[in-house]
Amino acid sequence: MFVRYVVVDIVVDLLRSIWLPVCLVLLWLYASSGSTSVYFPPLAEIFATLVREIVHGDLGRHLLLSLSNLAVGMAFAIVFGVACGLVIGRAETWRRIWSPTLNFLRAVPPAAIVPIIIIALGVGAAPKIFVIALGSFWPILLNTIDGVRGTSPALIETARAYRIPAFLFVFRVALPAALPQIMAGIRVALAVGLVLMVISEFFGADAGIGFYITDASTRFAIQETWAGTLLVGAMGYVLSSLFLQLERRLLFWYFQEDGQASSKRKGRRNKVGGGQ
Amino acid sequence: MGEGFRLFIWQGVAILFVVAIWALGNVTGLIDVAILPPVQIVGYQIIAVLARPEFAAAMGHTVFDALRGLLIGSILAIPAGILIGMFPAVERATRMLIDFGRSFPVIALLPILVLLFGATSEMKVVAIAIACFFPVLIQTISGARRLDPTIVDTIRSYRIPAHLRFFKVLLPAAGPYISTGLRIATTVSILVSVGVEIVSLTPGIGREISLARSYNETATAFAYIFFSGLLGVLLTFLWDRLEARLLGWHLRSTAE
Amino acid sequence: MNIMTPVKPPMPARAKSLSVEGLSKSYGNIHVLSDLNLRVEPGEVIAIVGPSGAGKTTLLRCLSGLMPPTSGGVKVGGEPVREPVAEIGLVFQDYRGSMLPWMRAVENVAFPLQGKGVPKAERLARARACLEDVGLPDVGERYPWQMSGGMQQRVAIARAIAYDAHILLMDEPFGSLDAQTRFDLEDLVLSLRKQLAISIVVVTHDIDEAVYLADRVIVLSGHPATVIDTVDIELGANRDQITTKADPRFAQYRSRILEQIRRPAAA
Repeated sequence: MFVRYVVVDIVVDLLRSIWLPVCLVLLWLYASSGSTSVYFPPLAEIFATLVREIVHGDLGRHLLLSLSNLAVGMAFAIVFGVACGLVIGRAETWRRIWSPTLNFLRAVPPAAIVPIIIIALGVGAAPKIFVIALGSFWPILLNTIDGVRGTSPALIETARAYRIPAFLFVFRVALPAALPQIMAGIRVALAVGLVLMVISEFFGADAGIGFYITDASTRFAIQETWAGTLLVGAMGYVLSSLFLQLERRLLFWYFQEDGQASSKRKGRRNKVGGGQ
Repeated sequence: MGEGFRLFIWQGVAILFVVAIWALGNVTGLIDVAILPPVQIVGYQIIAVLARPEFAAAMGHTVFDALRGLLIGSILAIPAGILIGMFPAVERATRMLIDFGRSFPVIALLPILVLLFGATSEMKVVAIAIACFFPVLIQTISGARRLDPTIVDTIRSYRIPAHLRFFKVLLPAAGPYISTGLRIATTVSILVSVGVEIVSLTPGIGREISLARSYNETATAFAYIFFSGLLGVLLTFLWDRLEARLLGWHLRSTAE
Repeated sequence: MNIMTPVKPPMPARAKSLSVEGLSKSYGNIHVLSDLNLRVEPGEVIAIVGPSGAGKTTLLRCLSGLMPPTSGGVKVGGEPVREPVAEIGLVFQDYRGSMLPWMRAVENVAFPLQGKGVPKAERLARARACLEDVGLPDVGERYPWQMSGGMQQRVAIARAIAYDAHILLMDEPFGSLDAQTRFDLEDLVLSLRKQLAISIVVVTHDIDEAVYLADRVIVLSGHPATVIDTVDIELGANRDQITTKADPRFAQYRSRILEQIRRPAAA
């Protein structure tokens, strides 16, 4: 009996969250089914193209290539962003001295350097990775600084009172305490990285999902353009959902105390933003 | 004078330090001039570019289109966000769509938008509006949902009707969150504006960067990049000022 | 304080009684309240006391219509309460949370009247008059964060009066205030009651406060909570902090209630 209730609960729960998306997709399918417009091909055909291109064409290869650039670029950004953030965040004077410089550099649209880097460094993976890493670096850095500064003084003093060695302090106290903020920064950085991944492939690339989309649109292959665009959307959704799962796993203690002590920190988490 | 002045000097030193590293890189040949031209040439171009007739026009296009997109996106997002936040069932049903929208890199829509609208300013504004819509929407929803439980009870027990609840309670309560959303969206609007211009060559700073680069005037491109960064800093600063005015009650009531 | 100066109180046309019949409330398998019966006559002050966790706040939420009971019901003037009704004004313990921080004191008081459709000039005038009633003639233009806790709680009371409530429900209203402020507000409640002929239900864990304020103290205890005693407090209508609390009868009431509460629930 009990198991059946649980199953019913889960199904009802799922229905509550997916009825609207499902209806909208069905509506799109229906409304576009007889479409003769060049720009809005029937959704069913777009899906068919998508499947065909992945199974028989090399859309899959393009996607994997893009993803690997994104992964490597993000990895660099995370390592450098967190490391620099931990250092700058601990030294208040340094942070104040560097803040105008950092604020300016962060405000530079990362997309602006794409044409320069790509044209100077060629069509390989390195310039794309560089651009992704550079753009994703700032949100991670600034959020890490914020997280370190927000660490409760009592926590730091406790660590000092028990004479926790520096190495342990960094990895068991400072880093975990700043982690909610760092993860929020990485989430923003992921969105920035995704944009830069696509843009960098718009310029003088011969592979990657961004290349696939522009290439299709210049060939006036509308269905392929739509298929590629939808695939990028799906990819963004899957990546950010996976990241959210990871965040919940890593920060279980943070979400546990949510609603009580952390509401103040919660408000600050979104301070550094700007996905696109 | 004193403390503040000393900090100011050191902040200047930090900037000079970056410039010095740059110059050193140029001199030793560690930095490729094709990527980052010599600092003095970029410096000269930053001044020279101001005299160009297309400079003011490009700045105007970028800012004006960014603000138009921001305005359209927020006007749609704020009421939608409060309505979604008011009804848990609606919030549930739209969550997936919103997650999809927020994680969608708007730049990837560009080829389709160009097919639909052509490489025009309108196309740019549409892209910016889409990009600004989501951060404002998401912040507004969380603001409307995060109402103090005692306020919820107070509102219910005094039987405050729906329209007053919307304008007098939920909207101001969500104010700080909406403001955060708008601040994010302001940054986003400039980033997307420049990004779209670079890719589609619609008028604006981004187009000047792309063109300068293709004429091999990398230093000029960097001068424009400098101004695009300055624009971002300026808008953020202005937004902070405005926020302090609009949300005085919030800053003071949380300061206690 | 100028509470005694008659500022044309918004006198309820016909005060209504509040009655609770066989009220029970459970959350899933947890039974919080069981078969409660009580009646509040017009103009009466009732205090509900009980150990913490006895379901006092749950009872108040049911009385106000914020929460539906599992069985039984609440009636105001014979009409069943299912949703919040116009006859009831609520004052919460969390005065900070119940003030809208973006509104001035006078706007906070006038806000429910706007909901009732009272024209602007009239509702602001009434709000100012009610602020005077609660001893705050000069703070109408202040924001909540510019007021002390006691002042904010006075504003909350003014809001209930302005709303023209016949019945004032107060949930641990002075629990978060310091002792001196609490005494002042207790006296304010007593004088309002004389002046306005409204009924007041105070939920509190403070037995002194209950005896001092109430005509009748209702003692809740047990799991689920039931009414274990009803104590009529015959200390007269004119009470004050020093003589009333020194009255030997005060001490008797007090120890009688305390014993009831501390006695292990005979369940």
